[in-house]
Amino acid sequence: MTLRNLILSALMVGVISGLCYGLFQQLQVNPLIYAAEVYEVAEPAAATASDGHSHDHGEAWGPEDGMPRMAFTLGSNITIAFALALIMISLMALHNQKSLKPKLNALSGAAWGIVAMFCFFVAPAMLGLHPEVPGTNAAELESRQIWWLFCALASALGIAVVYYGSVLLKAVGGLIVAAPHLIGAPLPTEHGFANTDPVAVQALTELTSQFYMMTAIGMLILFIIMGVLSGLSLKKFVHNGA
Amino acid sequence: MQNIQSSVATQTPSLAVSDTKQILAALALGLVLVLFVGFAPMEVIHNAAHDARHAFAFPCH
Repeated sequence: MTLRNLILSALMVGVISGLCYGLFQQLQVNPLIYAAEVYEVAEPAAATASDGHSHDHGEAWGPEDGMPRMAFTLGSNITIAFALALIMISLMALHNQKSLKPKLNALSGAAWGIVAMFCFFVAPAMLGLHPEVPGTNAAELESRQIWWLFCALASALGIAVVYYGSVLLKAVGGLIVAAPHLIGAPLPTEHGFANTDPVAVQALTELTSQFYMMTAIGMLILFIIMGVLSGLSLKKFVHNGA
Repeated sequence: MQNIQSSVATQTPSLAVSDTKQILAALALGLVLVLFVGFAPMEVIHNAAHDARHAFAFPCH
């Protein structure tokens, strides 16, 4: 029954927190994305050919602007929130099962939420790759994705070692958290935007700083809701037996 | 009746033993799902989840 309870709990947490974040995104983040897309320049054929995608079959399907696009975005928000909640609740269940530290509740859940925000957002995005509005110059996608995943994983693992490990191990944990940043995020050789028109650059720079702030606020809302609900649902629905 | 009771009694410990495995299965499912929605390179998935990927600050484009 554990698996079923974990999945159902994560579903509940994911739908609620994903809906909240989806609503926030619709109101505060999407306007910035749409505004940035106005300045997007059509990629030259040579660039599209070399970016690893095959465009031989023409433009792939995408949801149409307006309602369909909002619906797919909301659906994706909920799916990502569900997946993150599943990871969080599973790790919390492991904590309750294996650790001698106090069992999780709503308050410690909120703390887990803040740690999760650090692992999934602050470390890989704020301190590393930076949140991007469409049309931002960036290093090759694949290397950024690998670094992002490496950073999130190292942050989570490192914090776990610091929290659960002995005094000696705690230093090692700190080193694991720092490792991705010591290696350094793959950043573009020249900062800026694909569109080099001064008016566009100024607009995109402004949009980017608003985008930073809004994603950060949104992520804080999402992860605190997720942490609190995860802690609660674990207490209620997932038994703490060994 | 007795049969049912005894089978329940023998099953309970085996469920408890596999608890950790079930938790790890849930963890794996969550990881795969994040990779799929947030990182899969397929154009169609990218387009559908595009705005959400940006809003979670996942690397996009």
